[in-house]
Amino acid sequence: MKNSYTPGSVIFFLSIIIFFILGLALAPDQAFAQKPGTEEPNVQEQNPVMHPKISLLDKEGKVIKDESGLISTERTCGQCHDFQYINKHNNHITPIVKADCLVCHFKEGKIGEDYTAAHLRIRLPADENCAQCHGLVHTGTDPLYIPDDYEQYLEYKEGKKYYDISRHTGVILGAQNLSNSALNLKNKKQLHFPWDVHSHRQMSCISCHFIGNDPRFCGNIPPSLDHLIMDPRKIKSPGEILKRPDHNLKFTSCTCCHNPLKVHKNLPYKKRHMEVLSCESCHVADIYGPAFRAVDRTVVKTDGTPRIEYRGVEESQSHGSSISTKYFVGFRPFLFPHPFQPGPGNTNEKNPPRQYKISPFNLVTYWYWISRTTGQPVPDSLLQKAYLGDSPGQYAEDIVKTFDTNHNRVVDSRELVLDSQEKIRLIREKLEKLGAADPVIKGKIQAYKIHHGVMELLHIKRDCSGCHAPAAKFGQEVILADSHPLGILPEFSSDLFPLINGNITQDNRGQVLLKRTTSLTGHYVFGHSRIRWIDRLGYWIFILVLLGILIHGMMRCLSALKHPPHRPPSKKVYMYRFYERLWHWTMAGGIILLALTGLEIHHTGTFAFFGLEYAVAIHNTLAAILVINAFLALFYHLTTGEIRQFFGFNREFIKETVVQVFYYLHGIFKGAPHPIRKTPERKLNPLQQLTYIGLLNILLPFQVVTGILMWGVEKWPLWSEKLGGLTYLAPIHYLGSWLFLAFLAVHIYLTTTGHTVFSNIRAMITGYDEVAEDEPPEEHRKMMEMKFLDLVGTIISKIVKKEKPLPVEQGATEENHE
Amino acid sequence: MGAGLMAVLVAIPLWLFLPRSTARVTKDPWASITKERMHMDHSPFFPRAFHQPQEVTAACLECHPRAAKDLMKTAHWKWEGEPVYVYGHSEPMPIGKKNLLNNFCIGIRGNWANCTACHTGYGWGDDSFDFTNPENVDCLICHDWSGTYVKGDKGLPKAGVDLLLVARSVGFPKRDNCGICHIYGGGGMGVKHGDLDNTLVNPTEDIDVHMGKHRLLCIDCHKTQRHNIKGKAYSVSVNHENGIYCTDCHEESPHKDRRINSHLSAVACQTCHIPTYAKKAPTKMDWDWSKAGDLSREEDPHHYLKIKGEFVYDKNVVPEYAWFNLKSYRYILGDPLKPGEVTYLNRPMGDITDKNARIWPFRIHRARQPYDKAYNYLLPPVTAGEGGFWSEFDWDKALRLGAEISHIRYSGQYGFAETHMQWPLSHMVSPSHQALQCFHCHGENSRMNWKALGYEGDPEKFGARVLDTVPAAPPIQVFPGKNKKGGRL
Repeated sequence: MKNSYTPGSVIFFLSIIIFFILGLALAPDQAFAQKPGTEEPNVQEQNPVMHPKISLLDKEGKVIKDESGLISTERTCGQCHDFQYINKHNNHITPIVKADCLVCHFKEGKIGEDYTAAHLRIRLPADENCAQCHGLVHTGTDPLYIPDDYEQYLEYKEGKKYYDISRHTGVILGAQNLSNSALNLKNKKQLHFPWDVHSHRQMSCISCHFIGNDPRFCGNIPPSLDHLIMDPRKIKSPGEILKRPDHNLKFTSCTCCHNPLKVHKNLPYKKRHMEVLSCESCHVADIYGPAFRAVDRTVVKTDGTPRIEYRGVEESQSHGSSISTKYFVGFRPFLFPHPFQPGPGNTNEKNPPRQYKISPFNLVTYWYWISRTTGQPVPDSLLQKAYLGDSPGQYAEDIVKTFDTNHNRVVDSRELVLDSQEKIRLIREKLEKLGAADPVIKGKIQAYKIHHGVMELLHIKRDCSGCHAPAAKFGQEVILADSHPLGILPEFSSDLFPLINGNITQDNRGQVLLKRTTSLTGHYVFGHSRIRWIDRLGYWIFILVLLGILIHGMMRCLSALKHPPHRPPSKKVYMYRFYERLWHWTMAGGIILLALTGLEIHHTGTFAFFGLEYAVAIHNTLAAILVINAFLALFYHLTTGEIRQFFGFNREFIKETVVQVFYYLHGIFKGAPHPIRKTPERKLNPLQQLTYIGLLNILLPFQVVTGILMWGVEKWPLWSEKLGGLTYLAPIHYLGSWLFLAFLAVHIYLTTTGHTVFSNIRAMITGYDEVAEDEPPEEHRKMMEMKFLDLVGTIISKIVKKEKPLPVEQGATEENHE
Repeated sequence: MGAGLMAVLVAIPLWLFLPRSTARVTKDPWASITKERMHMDHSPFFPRAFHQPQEVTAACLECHPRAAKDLMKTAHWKWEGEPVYVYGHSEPMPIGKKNLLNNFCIGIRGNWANCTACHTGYGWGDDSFDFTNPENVDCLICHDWSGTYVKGDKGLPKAGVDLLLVARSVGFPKRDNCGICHIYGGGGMGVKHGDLDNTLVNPTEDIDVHMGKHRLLCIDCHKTQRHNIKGKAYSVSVNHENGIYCTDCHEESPHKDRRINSHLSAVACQTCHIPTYAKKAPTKMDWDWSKAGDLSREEDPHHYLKIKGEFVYDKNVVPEYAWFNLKSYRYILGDPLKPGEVTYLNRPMGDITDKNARIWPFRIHRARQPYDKAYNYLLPPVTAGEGGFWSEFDWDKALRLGAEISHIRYSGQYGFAETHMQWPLSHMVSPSHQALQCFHCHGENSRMNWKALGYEGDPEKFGARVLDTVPAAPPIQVFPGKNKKGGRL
């Protein structure tokens, strides 16, 4: 276990302490066993079980004696609860909204109403209370539909419903399955999951949005010292909390109840995903509710509401005037990195959360008239007068004349947009006449983060390629609006904004789009992020190598026809021992599979062989096997002394190298024999020595270290960050893999330069190679005897003058062989 | 050898570390279902026309000699079961449709000719019917595929039925064969069962997933060996011997979510998977015999008939829920009742403290039927039979004749008592995505009356029932791993 205390013991400890609080504070409506409507109204009796009987007082403090008396919450509730304190610490009492006690704590509470003593039942806020402003909420078993006032009162107005969650994000807080709703959804018959899984699982708004000093909620009493989990001195007594509940509501984070590290099996880089992504990014995958996309308040419909475009709705297939009959195809929220504020439950993390987390958003674009002189938006009443004149419900004459471009005497939805200078001028004039000072049109984009509407797990598909692919979710194009006032493109609103990487453009159909650049600054996403020039460099190295091999091979074929190859008598020699072959082929096979899986990870989407999940698992496993294999091989070479083969440099080494190079570039086409004979004591020619030293001691460790650091981003992120993080490590690792592949190509090709074309490979499998029995050629001996500079000169002259090689002499000695 | 070693070295770590799928091994529900049923065309076997139905039976028995004798051991022939102990009676007694009262048409005694149109035999017109004679077995009622076989009084085929055509068409029983009787019981389509009506003959998936989506026949669940058809109806039985269970095909804990599986010790499968009954066609909910006989009222088979009284029909009905341990009480002829109180004809046994009991969905039929005011027991009237209420509209006469035939005393004073019958539902199983969700039972719009079931309140808040004895199903830990210290949180 990583923590010293199990979650179980923590919860057990807390539950003992809060036992009293539970008993007193948990006061749901106790009418389970009774059918509603059977109670007799009683002036003195409220909810009989959990809330104690109290006297109802009016604003003078006198006891109310009959049903019609108006209750004063300050006096009545203030008998036990500290009214002043609560109102001072209440984020529902603002200059705009004043929600006092009974708005939330009473079944039929509504803002702005006065309460009489009839039917008063005090309870904890239920979803219906919150739904007055934060709708849409659907409890109950009747099929869900969208209420008729959904598009009205876009500005909060006391007493009217204001559906901010649903309008801004499209989320409906309902327990019912989508397939049982009354909405017209695409593939409705297959949508057997609830609108919001937490609502379905019997949670309510207050399960996550809680009183500021409620100790029950995780991490709400954060410890002051590192060695503490929580500080019991900070827990207020039940009486204190009931007397002064801090109504600056807080909200839990997902990790208050869920432990993501315990689940998400088979997710590679689990902690990393949790650090980079907010839970909602994957768990709110699709939204089917009525989310706004654009609100065009520069125009007005006949009922006085602005023109509203919905996201995830196919207008062409929507018939009927009600919103409920629109054809909802659903949409995927847009992922943006956002400054992350950890909720109360995140204080126990060892690694502090990254500054930015990728979260899902909905973008709503607003167009509105604003007075340039006062800086205030033009009020709705002026707009309604401008469009509807004195007769509500129909447009004024001049509006119809200007807007009705197809002359059917009706301003339909396609015409109701200020897409011509004429229309803009007309409205501007009318507004000025009505008293607006210098009105202009502005467009503003608001981003709303999505927290609700979590989908049921069974219906979320594991969509790795949503992000790990060239065309990822966070690079997708966002349609901001279908049509817009002429010439006005919207701007991002400045407050609390995610990092948007893109341009706002307009396509030729008049749609306003946000074209995002696909790079996610600061993050490296496998399969998606890439550095183009490294990709290209890798390809070119490999292609050029392949080309070289092709040419060399063709030339050898042609020359073999002209000069039959040198085939002296040979004997079979046991060249490669069992372990050498074992480690060679394990290495070979491992590297090939690593390259294959690595390519698949980098090019997810274009190249799929195992599937991303399997590719990652195979890559990691094989990497570990290979590292072990390499170390064991190193151990073998050191203890048996075979390391000499690689690092044995004799005095003639440079000359030998030159001769070997000359052989490959010239001698091999003339059918000449190898300059250096392969024996069990010397299996590697100088070029091989150099290459393998470079490969095994530079490239391989380099690849291994970068690979380990990339894997270590999960386990020891600080080390990886020190070296630049994935943004540096990954491209280097990738380039290294191309070098490996280039080596592989050359290596395999050069195995064909042995005694016969396949003798080298056969030797590496069986262990037995053919070694020439005759004397090494005179020419080579002579070349070895020359001084270095003379040797170079001879070679150059040979190449330039194309002299025939010296004839082979018999009986030459083998002095200079070792 | 080296290659093998290398393969092993690589394969083992890969096998250890590759991602596994989390699919569980499940019981295949199709394992016990016959997918292809053999049908032998019987047309060449019957060369000559049949004049008597018994001739057909004799012809069947030529090749199927055991069939009649086998059938005669079962309740489809005898219309009663093996002797059982009924609560409140010290001696075991054979009970069945033959001798029991219900609150639909009440009883067959005296009305045999009419009622035995659904008997798998010919000629049962009165008490003297010979139950030992195999010649009177009716094979065709269950095996007819022509769709033309109709039975009338005393179980004899109606005039105009071409017995040869019917005999040639025979095959294994399909849904409409069983349905001929089980769908039309109680005097009309869909009157009695609530979960059996003619929408099940060719149902859609929504009506019944087994019969609609998977095209199962009755006999796929009601498996039959030698004419012994498995299955028990609690209208005429008091226990579940030879009954069928969902777990005959489905596994014990089939849900992916452990929290749903943790309901299984207290909630029957049917409760969640039959959210409503009489989904498309209405069923009779209420039958008031006391209103019968009013010749001035307008007749309508769904509201009022002079012979029967006043009815209430309803469709897409939410069931009522009660504890049930697969045994029931039964009102037997002559049992005392308390006037003014509801008499439960077949009340389910079991309560919250019974470890074998689960919450089941019930179709409840409420009626007002004749009883003897002096002796305080229910009276079986003669309705269809001679001198019965349906011909003479005279309760006193009908009840006197009925009492005579049933050998009980009739005081001459009759009244109408409120009776309920509770039929546990097992048909019209909805597809799984239409099953009850959490909020159907827990929460404000709950269809459960927790207090009536014996709970303090919603078990989601107050906890599940605590049984004194070791529960039948093992307690399912919803949060495994917390049990290390012993006991649940």
